[in-house]
Amino acid sequence: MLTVFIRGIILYALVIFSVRLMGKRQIGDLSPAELVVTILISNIATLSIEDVSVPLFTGVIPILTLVCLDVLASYVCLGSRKIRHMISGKPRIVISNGVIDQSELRALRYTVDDLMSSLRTQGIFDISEVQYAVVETTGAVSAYLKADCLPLTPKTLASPEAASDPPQVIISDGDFIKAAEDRLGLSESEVIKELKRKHLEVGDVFLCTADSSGKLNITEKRKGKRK
Amino acid sequence: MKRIVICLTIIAIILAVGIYALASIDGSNDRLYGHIEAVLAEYESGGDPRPEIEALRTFFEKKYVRALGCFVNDDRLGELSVSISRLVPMLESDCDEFTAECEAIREEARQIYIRELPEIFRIF
Repeated sequence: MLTVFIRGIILYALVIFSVRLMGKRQIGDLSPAELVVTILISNIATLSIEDVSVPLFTGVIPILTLVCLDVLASYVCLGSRKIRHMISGKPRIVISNGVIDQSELRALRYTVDDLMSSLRTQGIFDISEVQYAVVETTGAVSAYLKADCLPLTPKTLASPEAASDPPQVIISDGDFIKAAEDRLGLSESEVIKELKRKHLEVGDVFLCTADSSGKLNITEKRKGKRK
Repeated sequence: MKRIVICLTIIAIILAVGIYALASIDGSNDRLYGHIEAVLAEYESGGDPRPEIEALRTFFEKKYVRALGCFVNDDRLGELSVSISRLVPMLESDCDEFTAECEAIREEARQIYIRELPEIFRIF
């Protein structure tokens, strides 16, 4: 009995350490990879606490291995969009310009009921109010309302917005995003020309968004290490 | 970056512990084989191997189990313990299988080492 108690204390400390090591991303919504790691850790920890015939090391080592792999994978994801999309998937646009993309919903195996339910949790009961909606990598739906349904702010009061999709990312961490470019009808050469006017290369850009009018919003990469 | 360093350190420690476990099992097995050889040599020469069996049991309980307890499943060590505890009764009843039981102990110990080796067929 005391052995189980002591093992429980050790594994409690280990799981807390593991969750802290995985970082704050773990506390919010989980991506598929994080969900798998979390479930596996809880399962291994339970087995190791209960079964005293199994050495504690055989529980500790897989937990630490999974956590280390998760952290290393997230580090690799920072540097490579392809690997990031492979591990976490990518957000999918299901409503654009107020029109539901049915083929995208089918590809996601997302029913209209699922979509409506996700929108209702955000206080949207009429799908015709939605200008743009994205299914995030966590499975949550983010919706952007049409201009005439947006809450009134001093800015919108002064100049009411025309109905348009929100700005989209076209350069992320020095990588050009072809899909966004296609959606906005903005060619790569036009963007490069605009960047050159500001004495920038694509590789110098940390984030570049463009709205439907073609207006770019550029955030340069910060040079040097974080202190 | 700090997390990456911690993770790489943990992975290095895991690899080191794995190699240490293998070396520890191998070293403990060598000493166990030595005790078994001593028991068999005394038995085959017609002498009384009881002190050697006692030395084998003491080594197993005091050193072998403590060295391997962290890495090896209790059930496997339990099987070895049962085999060792059968040696004296077998000797006293003049059982023909005494030598075979000693060989079984050696084989069980060898299996403990072999099961720890990261071989492809064992991984999958």
